[in-house]
Amino acid sequence: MAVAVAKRRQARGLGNERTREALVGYGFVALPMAFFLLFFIFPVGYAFYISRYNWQIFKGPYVGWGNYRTLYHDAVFWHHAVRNTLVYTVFVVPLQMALGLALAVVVNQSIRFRTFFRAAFYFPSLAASAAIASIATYILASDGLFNTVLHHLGYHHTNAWFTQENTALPSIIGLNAWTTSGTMMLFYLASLQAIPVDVYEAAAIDGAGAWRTFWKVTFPLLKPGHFFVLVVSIIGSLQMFDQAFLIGGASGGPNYSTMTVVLYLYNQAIKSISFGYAAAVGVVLFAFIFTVTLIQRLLFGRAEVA
Amino acid sequence: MATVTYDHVTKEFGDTKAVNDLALDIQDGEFMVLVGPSGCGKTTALRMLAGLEKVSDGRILIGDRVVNNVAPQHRDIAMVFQSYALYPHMTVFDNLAFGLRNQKIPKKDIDQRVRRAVDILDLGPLVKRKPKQLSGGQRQRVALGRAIVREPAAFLMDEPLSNLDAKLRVQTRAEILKLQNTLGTTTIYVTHDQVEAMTMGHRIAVMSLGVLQQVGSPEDVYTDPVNVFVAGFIGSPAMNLVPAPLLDGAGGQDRIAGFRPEHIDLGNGRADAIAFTARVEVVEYLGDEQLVHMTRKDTPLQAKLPVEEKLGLGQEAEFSVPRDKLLLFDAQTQQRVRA
Repeated sequence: MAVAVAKRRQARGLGNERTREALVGYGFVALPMAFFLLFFIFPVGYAFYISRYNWQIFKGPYVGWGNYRTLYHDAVFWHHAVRNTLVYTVFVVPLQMALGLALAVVVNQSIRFRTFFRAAFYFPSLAASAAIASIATYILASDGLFNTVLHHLGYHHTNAWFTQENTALPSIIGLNAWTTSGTMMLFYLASLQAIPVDVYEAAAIDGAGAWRTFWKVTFPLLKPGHFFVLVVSIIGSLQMFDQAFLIGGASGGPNYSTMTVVLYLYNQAIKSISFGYAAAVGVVLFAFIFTVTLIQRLLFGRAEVA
Repeated sequence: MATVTYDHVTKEFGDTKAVNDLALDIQDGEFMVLVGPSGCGKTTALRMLAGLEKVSDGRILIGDRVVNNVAPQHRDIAMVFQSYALYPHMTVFDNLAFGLRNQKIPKKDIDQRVRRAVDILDLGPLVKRKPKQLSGGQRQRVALGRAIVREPAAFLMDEPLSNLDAKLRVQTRAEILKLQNTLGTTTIYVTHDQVEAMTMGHRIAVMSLGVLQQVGSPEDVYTDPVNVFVAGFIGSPAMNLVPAPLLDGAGGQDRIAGFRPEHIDLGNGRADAIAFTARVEVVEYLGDEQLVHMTRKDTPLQAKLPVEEKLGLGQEAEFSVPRDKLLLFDAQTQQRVRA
């Protein structure tokens, strides 16, 4: 009897201990969770709420799916904003990843001034995009440095790169691939350093040269890194705004060639004061990014991550 | 197969000499164990042989070829790492075949050699698995397999059993020995475990602080250590090393007396034995024998005695050690002093 009581007391004591531990755990996550709910989840829900109204500066009449129906038939949105954003993403993501990986591999070697190179390669990611865009505008002007170099190499290009319909978006792609490569380098560097050194030593003894070691050992072992960089890169590309705005202006010029989805959203919200419609654009973009990320997760998650 | 020679090899890391003037000849087909405590330079010596560390001074020869400036892949060696270093994204088959594919060996021959290694190591059911789906022992066998398929001139093994549990370690030890006997490949095996060294090596090379202390058969090193370090390092439980005057008639102040726990008898023993009294502190029952921890004049001693001899804790008892089992070392130089 006494033993049973003691056991019950002990069990109760253990239960209290577990509850206290759980409470402490919840306490730790409470603050970040509150921020997450307030600044991430709530805005998504609120944007969806706004998108169901003809919301200008103040709340307007309820229109249901009206904004979405209008968006479905919006030629500028689909033929320019979505198209440009997809083209930008398709080209800039592989470029960013390849450049980031190449830089990470270089600065992961035991070379002199390694810290300097790491800082130098990362620097463009730290610089303000407005400053970079301004300098790039000068460099890519009709009589700018880039055209001068091309001229000396025998290629005669006399137009400013950002002002031509056919070269504006590719120029932004090139510029952004460079500016974001430092961040991608950092992500890849972390992944590279997680690969055990002895695997490389085993590969060296197994007779794998540098090229074969990279493709057969390093590249596959970077799979978690590839996934992370790919997701971050795609999300960032689909949300591209600042360079397009700074270079092509709010109108996404010339002739909508630099109009992106987020720039279009900005125009609807700030220029047209049509928050309901802009929110619908935002919700569609969110749904698209969410779906793309889920697909990536399924693709990478199904295969074994080393 | 080939001989391996360390010809006065030194390895410096900054001001530290990790390996200092190592001179060691390893015979063709020999199983040589480099043994010593952590930081003694044994792994560095092995990594220099593998080509994973540069040699600061001296020469390393595999056969009659100096390999100081030869890349690891061209040294015709295979290495088994402490962590196994398997390629985590490859199947067992691909792990075994990777080295052969790098050598551009025809696919048919690769299949044949991998199958042979798989049969030898009983890896058949595991060939399609990846390393993380294997147990520690299975990973160890794959690592050995990766070495075998290369058919190298020498196997280099860096503490390959240290991540296994005690039972598996004994089992795998026997497997490695059997394998080495079958293949007859020159093997250089690094361990800090002197039991492993004693049971596996044709010869063992004892190292301390980057310096080779003694090379010889396990029996030689055990019965005839050249200095205090080797005497104390080889053997479990360790040799008793005490100031010689502690035992009447053993030697003077300038001597250290060494005698193994199993050479101590209860009682005053034979006519040529040195007798002494000691106080029994702890008795460890080992099944077939007992390990007696005792003190004489506050100096701890250990004796391995038959279990039939009953000793009480705190008891002052008389023990003896045969004079021919007593080793003497110079207290200053720590070197062996022979009569």
